[in-house]
Amino acid sequence: MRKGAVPVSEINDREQTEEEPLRRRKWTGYAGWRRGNRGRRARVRSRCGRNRRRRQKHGIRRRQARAAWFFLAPSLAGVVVFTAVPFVDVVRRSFLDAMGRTRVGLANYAAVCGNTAFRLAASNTVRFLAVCLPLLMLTSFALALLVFRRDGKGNLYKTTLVLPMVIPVAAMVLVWKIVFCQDGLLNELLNWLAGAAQVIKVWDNDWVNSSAAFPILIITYIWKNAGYDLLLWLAGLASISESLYDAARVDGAGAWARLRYITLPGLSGTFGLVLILSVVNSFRVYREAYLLAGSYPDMSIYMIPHLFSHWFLTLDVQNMCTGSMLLVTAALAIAAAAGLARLMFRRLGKSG
Amino acid sequence: MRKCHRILSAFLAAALAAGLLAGCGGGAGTGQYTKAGEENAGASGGGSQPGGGASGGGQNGGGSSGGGQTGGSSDGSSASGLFGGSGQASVVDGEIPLGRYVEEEFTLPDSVSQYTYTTLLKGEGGRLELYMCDYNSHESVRYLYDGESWKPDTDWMKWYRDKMASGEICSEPYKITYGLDGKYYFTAVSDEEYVCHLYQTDGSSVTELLSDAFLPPAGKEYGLIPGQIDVAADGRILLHDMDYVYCYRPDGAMLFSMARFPAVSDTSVGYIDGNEFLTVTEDGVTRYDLSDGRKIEDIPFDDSIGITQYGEGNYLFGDGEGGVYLASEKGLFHVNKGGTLWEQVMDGRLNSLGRQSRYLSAFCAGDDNDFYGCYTNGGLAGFVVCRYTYDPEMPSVPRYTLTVYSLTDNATVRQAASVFQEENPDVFVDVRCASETDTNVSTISDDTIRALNTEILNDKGADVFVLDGLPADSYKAKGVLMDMRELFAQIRQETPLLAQVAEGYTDADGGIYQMPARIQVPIALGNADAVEAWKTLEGVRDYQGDKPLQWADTYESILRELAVLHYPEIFGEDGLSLDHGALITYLEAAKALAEASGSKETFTEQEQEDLHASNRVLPLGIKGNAIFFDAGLAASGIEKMENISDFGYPVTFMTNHPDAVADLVNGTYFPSGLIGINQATANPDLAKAFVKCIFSADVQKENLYDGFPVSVAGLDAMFAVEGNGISFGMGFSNWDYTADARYPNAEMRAKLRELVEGVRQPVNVNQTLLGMVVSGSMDCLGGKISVEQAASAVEQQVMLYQAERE
Repeated sequence: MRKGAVPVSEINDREQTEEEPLRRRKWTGYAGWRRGNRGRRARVRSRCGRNRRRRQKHGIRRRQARAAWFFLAPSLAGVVVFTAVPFVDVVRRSFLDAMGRTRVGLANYAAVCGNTAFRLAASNTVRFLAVCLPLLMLTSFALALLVFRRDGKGNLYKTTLVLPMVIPVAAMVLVWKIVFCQDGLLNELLNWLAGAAQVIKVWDNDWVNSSAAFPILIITYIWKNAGYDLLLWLAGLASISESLYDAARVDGAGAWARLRYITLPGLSGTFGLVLILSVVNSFRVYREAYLLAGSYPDMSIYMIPHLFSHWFLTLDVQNMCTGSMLLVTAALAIAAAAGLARLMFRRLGKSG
Repeated sequence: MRKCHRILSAFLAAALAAGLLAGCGGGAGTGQYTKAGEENAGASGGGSQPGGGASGGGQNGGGSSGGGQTGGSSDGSSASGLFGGSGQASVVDGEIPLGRYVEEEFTLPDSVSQYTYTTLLKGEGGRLELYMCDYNSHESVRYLYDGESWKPDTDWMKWYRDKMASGEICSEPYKITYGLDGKYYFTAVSDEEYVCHLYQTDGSSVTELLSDAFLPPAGKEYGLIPGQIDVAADGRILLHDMDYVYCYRPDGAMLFSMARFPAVSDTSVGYIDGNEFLTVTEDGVTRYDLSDGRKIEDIPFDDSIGITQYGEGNYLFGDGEGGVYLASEKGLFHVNKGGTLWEQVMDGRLNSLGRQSRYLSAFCAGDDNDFYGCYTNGGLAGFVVCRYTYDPEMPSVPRYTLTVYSLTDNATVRQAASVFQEENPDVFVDVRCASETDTNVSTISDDTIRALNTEILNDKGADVFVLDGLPADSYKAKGVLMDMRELFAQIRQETPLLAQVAEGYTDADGGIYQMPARIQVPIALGNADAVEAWKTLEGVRDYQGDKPLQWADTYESILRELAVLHYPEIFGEDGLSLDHGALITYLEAAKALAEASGSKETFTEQEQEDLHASNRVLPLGIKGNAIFFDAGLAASGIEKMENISDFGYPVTFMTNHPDAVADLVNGTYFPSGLIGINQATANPDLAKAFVKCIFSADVQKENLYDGFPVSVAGLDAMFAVEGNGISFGMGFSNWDYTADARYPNAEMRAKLRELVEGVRQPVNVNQTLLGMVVSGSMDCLGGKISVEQAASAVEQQVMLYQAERE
C-alpha cells in the first residue's frame, strides 16, 4: 500500500461528523488497490479530491509539455519545411503536368503504372529488400552471437567486422571493381582454379555488367552494412540479464534452448529496430549500384533511384512525384496490413 | 505518448489530404519555393572619374568602383549564381551609376585593306604609328595618326624601300619597337638564311646590332627569332624568347635572363618601366630589376583576369606612375604600384576585347585618358583599330540583362553577345557556361543538367538556351521552349538561311523550337569506290579493296564514327528507335572495318609508334584520318569540316591524288550551337532580338572555327575570304610523312561551298544511347561474343532507355 493511503474499510468505519461531508470530498490519498478482471490492478480513489488531483496533475503536465514543445520546435520546423512541405508539393505535383501548370487528373498515375521501366525498378527494389534484408539481419545476428562476450573481450573481432562501415563507399566500390571487372581478381582466381593457361583465359566475364550483378550487389551491401546491424544486435544482447542464462543453465537448458527461450524473446524489441533501420538504409544501395555499374546497369539491379535520376534529367518531374506517391501508398498499405494483422492476432490471443 | 502518436497521425493524414486537394482541386501553380523577384542590378558604385588610369565605370569592378551587377557574371562569381538566374530581365532601378569607356572603331583609309598588320605603337613624341606590310611585294608601310585621321608616312616608306634596295635591311620588318632611348628598333628575317637581324635607326641611318645573338647555336637549325624587343633608356636590349627574356648590352654581351610566361605566341607580355621590367608569368605579373635581373615582386592575378593557355591575346603596359595595365579578352585591368588589388577598368564582354572574331594585337594608353587597341582577324587579312574614351553620361551598368545558358563555351554565341551589346549599349548579355574549360558536352556531369532543370522548374532558367548536350526534345515536349516560327519567318525573310537546315528543324506543324547556329560537315575522302562504300552500312561491311577502307584505330573510335555517320539508319528518324536489322549490319560493318585495318581495343606505345595510331577517343569518333589515304595506307578517310581552313589538307590530298574524290556521307551534318528561347523568359522581345542577332550576317560571316554558318549571307562572306596566301603543314617525329596545305583558292572554294550546301540530314547525337551501343559492342569487335549476342545486349540497354520515356 502506498504511503499515506487509507484502507477503504477504515473510511467506511469512521464516524460521520459535521465536517465529514467536506472531508470526504477532500483528497485522502489512495484508497487502496484491488484486483480487477484478468489480474489487472486498478486504482480506486475516493471521489473526494479526485478533481483537485487531476487539476494538479494537469498543470504539471501542461508545463512539461510546453517545455517539450519548446525543445522540439527547431527540429520540427526543419522537418516541416524540408520534409512535410515538399511532401505536400509532391502530392500536388502528381496531379499536374511536368511544369506544374496544368491539371491532368490521374493521367500521371496511369502513365507511371503502365511504364515498363517503373515496374522493373519497383520490382527490383522489392526483390532487393526481400532478399537482402533477411540475409543481412541473419548474417549480422549470427556474427553478433559469435562475437558477443560479457567480459568485454573480443573487441578485435568486433572492430574488424565494423570496419567496412567506415570505409567510404567510393573507395569500397573501387575495390569491388578490381575484384569483379573483366581483368579482375575473381576471373584470375577462377582461371587459376580451372588450371587454364595464362594466355588463354577461360573466365573473362564482366561480372558487374552481367546477370551476376544482383548477387554481387547483395554481397557488397551485406559486407558494407552488416557491421551496423551487428552493433545493434550486440546492444540488444547486452541488455538481456545474465541471470536468466544462469538460471536456464541450472535448469539444464542447452545452447539452443537458451537461444530460443531467452535470447530471441529478449531481442524482440531490437529486432524491430534493426528491421526498420535496415529498411531505411537499404534504399541507399543506389550508391553502390550506381558507382559499380553506372547509370544504366544490368536490368537486375536497375532500381527506383536510377529511374528517378533519369526522369529528373529529362524534366519528367510529374512522373517522379507520381512514382513516389505510389511507393508511399504501397508502404503505408503494407504497414497498415501489418498493423491490422497484429491487432487481429492479439484479439485472437485474448479470446483464445 | 499515445497523444503524440495521435497528433502525428493526424498531421500525416492532414498533409496527405492537403496534397490531394491541392492537386485535384487546386489550379496550376508555379514553383513553390521561389519568388519571381527582380535582381538587384547593383546600383552601387560606378561612375567614378578615372584618373591616371584608375578605375572607370567597369562592369564588374574589382576595386571599389564599378557597379557590381549581381546577375551579370559569367564566371560564376556573382552572388546570384545558379539560383539567382534571371528568369526576368534585370533592370536597374533608382539612381543609375554613370560613366563607362566606350569603344569607337577608326575608319581606316581604304588603302590599308591590302596590307597585313605588323605593329601599332606610340613612337616619337607619343604619336600613334601603325605599321603594315605587303608580304607579296615586300613593301613596308607606315601610317601616322595626327589626332583626326590616319595618314601614310610616304617619306618613311621611301626610306625603308631604299634601305632594302641597298641591302642595309634584309627584308620587311617583323617586329618594331620605339625604345626608351628615343630610337627605333626593328627585326627582319632574311628569307634565304632564315636568320633574324636587329636594326637600330634614328630615322636616317641604320645600324645592325647583336648580329651574333641570332645565329643558330651549334647543332641547331634555327637561331633566336624574338617575338618582341624592348629597349631601355641606356640602350640595353631585351629580346623575348619563348620562356625567357634575354638582356643584352648594345655591344652584344648578354647580361642575364628573366623568366616569362611560356608562350607560343609573340604577344607583348612585357614592358620596361624606368629601370624595371615587367612581364607576365604563370602566377601573375612579375617585376624585375633591370640592373641585375633580380625579381623584385610578384603581383598575383585574381580569378577575374583571364590569361589564355598560351599567353596569347594579353597585353601589358604601364600607366606612367608605376602602375600596370593588363588587357585581355576579359577586359582591361589595372593595379597600382605596390598594390595587389586588380580593378577592372573595362569589361571585355562589352567591347572588342571579348569579341571572338577579333584577336588583340596591341593595346596602349593615349594621352587624354583614352586607350587604343588593335585587333586582327586571326591571321587572315584585315584588322581594326579602336579608341576607348570615357563617357561620363553613359550608364556604367547596362540597364537590362539577358541571360544565355550553355553547357560549354560557344564562340558564335559570344560573338553575337558582343555584336548585340554594341548595337544595344543598354543591354548586357550574360553568357553563362556550365564549364568554360570543357569543350565537349559529353563530359559535362549530369548534375549540371539537374541543376539547370531545377532552375527551369522554378521559372528561373536563362532567357536563351544553347541546347547542345541538353535534353532539347524533352524541353520541347514539356513546353519549356518557345515556338519561334514567326521569329524565323522574319529572320529568313531578312537573312535567308540554308533551306535544308531550316526545314530540318521545322516540325510537321510548322513549329520551330530550336535552330543550329552552325553546322559541321563530315566528308569521306579517298578512292571513288571507297567513298561510295561509306554511304551505307552494307557498303562498309562488304568493301573489299587492296587497302583497308580506313586506317587502324581503336574499337571505340570506329564504333562511334560509324554510328554517327549512319545515325538515322540505326536509330531511326526520331533518334530513339533502334532498328534490329540495322544494328546487326552496323556491328558486322564495324567488325569488318576493324579486322581489315588491324584495329585494336587499345594500342601499346610501340604500336602507336609503328602504326601511327592514337588511343584518343573523341565524342563523335571522327579524328580526321584522311592523311593515311594520302600516305597510301588506306583507301579513304573521314574528316570533319568546321571551317574553310579545314579543307586545306583535303584539297592537298586530292591534288596529290587526282583520282581521289571527296563527298558527303548521306548528306549528314552535325548541328552546333542549337539555339532555343525559354518560354518563361520575362523579356521575350529581347530574347528574340538576340536570336535574330545570332543569325544575322554580321555574326554568321565570322569564321570562329566552330562550324559553317547556316545563313546564306554568312556562307557568302566566309567563302569569299581570300586567305592571303596562308599555308600550313604537318610532320611527325617518328614518321617520314609530311603534308603541306594552302588555303583553298577561289575555284576550289566554290566547289567546297557546293559540298557544304549539299547537307540535308541533321544528326543530333544522343551520347547516352551512343555510349550504350559502343559499350555493348566492344566485346563483339574483340571476338569475345557474337554479333547477335552483342545486338541483344545493346537492345536490352536501349530498351530500358526507351522504357523510361514511354
